[in-house]
Amino acid sequence: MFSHNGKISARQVMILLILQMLNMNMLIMPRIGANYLGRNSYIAPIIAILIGLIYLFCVTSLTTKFPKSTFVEITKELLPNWISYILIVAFAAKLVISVGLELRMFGELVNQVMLPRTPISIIMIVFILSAAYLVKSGIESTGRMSEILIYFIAVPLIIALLIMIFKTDYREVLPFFQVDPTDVGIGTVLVSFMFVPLEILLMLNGLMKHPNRVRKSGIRAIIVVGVLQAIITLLCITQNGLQETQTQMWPVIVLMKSLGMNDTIVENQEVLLLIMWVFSIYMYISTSLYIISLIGSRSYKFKRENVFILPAVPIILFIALFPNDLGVVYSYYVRFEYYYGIWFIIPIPLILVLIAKMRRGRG
Amino acid sequence: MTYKSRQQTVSNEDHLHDKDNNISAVLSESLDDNIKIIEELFKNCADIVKREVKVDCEQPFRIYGVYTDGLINRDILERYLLTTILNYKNLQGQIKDPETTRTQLIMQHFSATFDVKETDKMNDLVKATLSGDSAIFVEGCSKGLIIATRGWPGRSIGEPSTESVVRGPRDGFTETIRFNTVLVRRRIRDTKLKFKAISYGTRSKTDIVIAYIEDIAKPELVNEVEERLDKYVIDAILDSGYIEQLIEDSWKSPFPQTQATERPDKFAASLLEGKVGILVDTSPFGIIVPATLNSFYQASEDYYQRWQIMSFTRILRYLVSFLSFTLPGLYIATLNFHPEILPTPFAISIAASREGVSFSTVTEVILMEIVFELFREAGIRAPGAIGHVISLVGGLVIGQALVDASIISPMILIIIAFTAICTFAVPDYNLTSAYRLVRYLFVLFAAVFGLYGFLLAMLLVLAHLSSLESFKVPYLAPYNISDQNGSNDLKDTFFRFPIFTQTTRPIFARAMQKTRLRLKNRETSGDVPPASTKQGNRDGSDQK
Repeated sequence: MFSHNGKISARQVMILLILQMLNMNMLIMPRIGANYLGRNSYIAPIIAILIGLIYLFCVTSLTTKFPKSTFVEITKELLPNWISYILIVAFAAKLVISVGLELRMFGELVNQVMLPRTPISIIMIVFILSAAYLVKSGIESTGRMSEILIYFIAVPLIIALLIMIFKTDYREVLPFFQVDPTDVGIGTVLVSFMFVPLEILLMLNGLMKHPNRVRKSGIRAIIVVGVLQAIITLLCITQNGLQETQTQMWPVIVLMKSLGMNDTIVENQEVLLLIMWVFSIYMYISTSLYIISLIGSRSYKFKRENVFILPAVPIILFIALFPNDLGVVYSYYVRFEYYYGIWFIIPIPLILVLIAKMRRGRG
Repeated sequence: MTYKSRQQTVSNEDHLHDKDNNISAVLSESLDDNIKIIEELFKNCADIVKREVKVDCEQPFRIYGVYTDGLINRDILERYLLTTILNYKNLQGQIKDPETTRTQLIMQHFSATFDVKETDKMNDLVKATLSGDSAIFVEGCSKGLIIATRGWPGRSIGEPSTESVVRGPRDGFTETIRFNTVLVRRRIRDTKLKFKAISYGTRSKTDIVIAYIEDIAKPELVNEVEERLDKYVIDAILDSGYIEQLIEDSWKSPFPQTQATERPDKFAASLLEGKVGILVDTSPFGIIVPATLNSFYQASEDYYQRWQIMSFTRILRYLVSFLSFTLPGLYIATLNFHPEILPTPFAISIAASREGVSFSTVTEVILMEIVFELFREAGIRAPGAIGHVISLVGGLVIGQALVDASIISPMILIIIAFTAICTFAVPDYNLTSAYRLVRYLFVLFAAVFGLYGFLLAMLLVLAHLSSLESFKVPYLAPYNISDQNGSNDLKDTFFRFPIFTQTTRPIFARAMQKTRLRLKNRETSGDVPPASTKQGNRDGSDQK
């Protein structure tokens, strides 16, 4: 029978990472890429895969040294207590802010496309409570849920992309590669922020049945997301046109509208295609919520890992409701990822690795 | 009332019984004492037959027989025991006086049956009497005899009423546990098929059998079943439904976590997969654990017919079962919140059909759902012929009348009727019952939040199913554990792959017993037929 040890498989980690990285990025990254690389923005996610692999290497270089520990235990082992608490709180705060901003953007989009007359706060509250319902059962349930939802997300997405791949006009991407290398650099780095959710490996690694497979899971997830994002960006450029992609807040929604399933059983198919995206965001929010709660319970050495789920909900909602409108939340989100995105991806893991090596050197 | 005082209230303890209602009185050498106890125990029990007989040998002694009228086969008792005892005088010349005890004398010379045993416990003798066996008390012996005489009138083996098939065996479980074990044993003639018998219920003393194949079922699963059964003390088990609810993992969930079946072939097939079965006397439903969502979609017939058509049927089952709990919610979400996603002519047609209807779509749906539930309940409870009439009158006449009176729109009638039909396409009744409840969740969420609410309801249901387990096996297995047992388990899910490709047992079985099908001339298992010929040869005879 199955052991109840609060562990998840490498495959589940891979799927969780894919869903974490897809979330809002899937909708907004084409615009960011197009603003820097223009018609050639589809190459940004491909190059960003390499940067993503660097992120992965940095995170896993730390986690592989402490295969059964989470970020909380690692910092407590390597650093003085007060510094470790600062880092743990900073990590939790970063996740809370990210989730809050994502939740707000999600609420705004649902408000625009599905429920224009419903208050955005209600949309967000029911959503986050639904996410809390999943994660209260633990990481095993979350992992299993991700394995189910991936079917619901992948199948419609692949069908929609296949339809568009065959009907789009590829002349829109011409001329090839006429872009400033500096823009390529900046654009690619910005696009590579879609891989920032790799930071959850700092916590998930300690919950894996086989922590030695974490790199394999990460590499697969990065490649899947990178390629998918490249295809979506390419289709946004070819189907919507460059200008539309650069100016629209949600170029992917415009892309979905152009799917052309009229005269079939559904007309406004973008609403239906939002389904897969709602599922993706659901997994993002619920996993992040779990990680936040896990950080809390591990810090205070609580046996139950879901103790902090409900206390985290109002804080996340407060952050989500703080910005005035979509424009503000969007700029907050981009700036937040720009300034604080990679702290827990590159510098902190590498510093901790260095400290670990120094300690071992001293015996 | 405190827990302790409640415990005391339910205690059955008196001078003849212990707290679990077992007989605490001791079997005495004195027959008169034993008779006294029996008389007291069975006071005012008109169905209990008691008789004292004298065995007339050189040193005559008395015996005292007890049985329950109607529960025994009197022919066995009278022809093979009583007659020989009464005719003992005639045999005196042939039989030397025994050097052994009197009970052994009876066993050796009077009882013309294999199934007779000696016991020194009053409890065993009384229990046997109430189970249809006959108890014999012997003067001067602190031991009694139990003679297997069970034979009560019972329903003969018939076709399962809830799991009919076009092709497949027609025999179904009955209320007699021994018939049921026979039906399983006929299908698995293996010494490793075990039927562990226990008695459950302090008053009902119901016979329960835990069935499993020793080297296929995981020992921890068998132990888990026994432990869960051992957890409670209950007064009576009147059907396997009691057991089902006592041993399930989550009582809060509407989804069934054990599988009930009337079909011995399904029961046997589950045992061969490494599952554990439970049979309960007086219940024609066997229980199978663990149960996963996928197992509820597997009908026996799926394996008796060609894989292509049964795969198609499986997909259809999944699709319609999904519609059975989502369609009303989806209708409300679409019509109330997102009519623009429907093709314009269709949307206009629906709007036209609602003209004159004074209720909102939500009210219409809930009203019709309740009316249909009422028809269903009335149809089941009413006597046979009247039940059909109720269904017919309810479905056709009242439905049409409601539409004519503009209480509901024709579209609602179609939606609810279609939904009701969809529920019957799922082979398991317990699962469809769960879907009936879940449907209201979808209706509620869709009514408040439209398609967004519909998606939230779906996520909540999926989250619930993801957290659900049956005997520690994830409920959504094998869809979300495909990395744990290869992809072989997925060959019997949406698609029913050809039998010869299903070479290994599912995840429930022991690791060393994974192979269930292989080529005779091959040491290792694998997908057959080999690709050596165009058509493929299942026996490998053309292999070079």
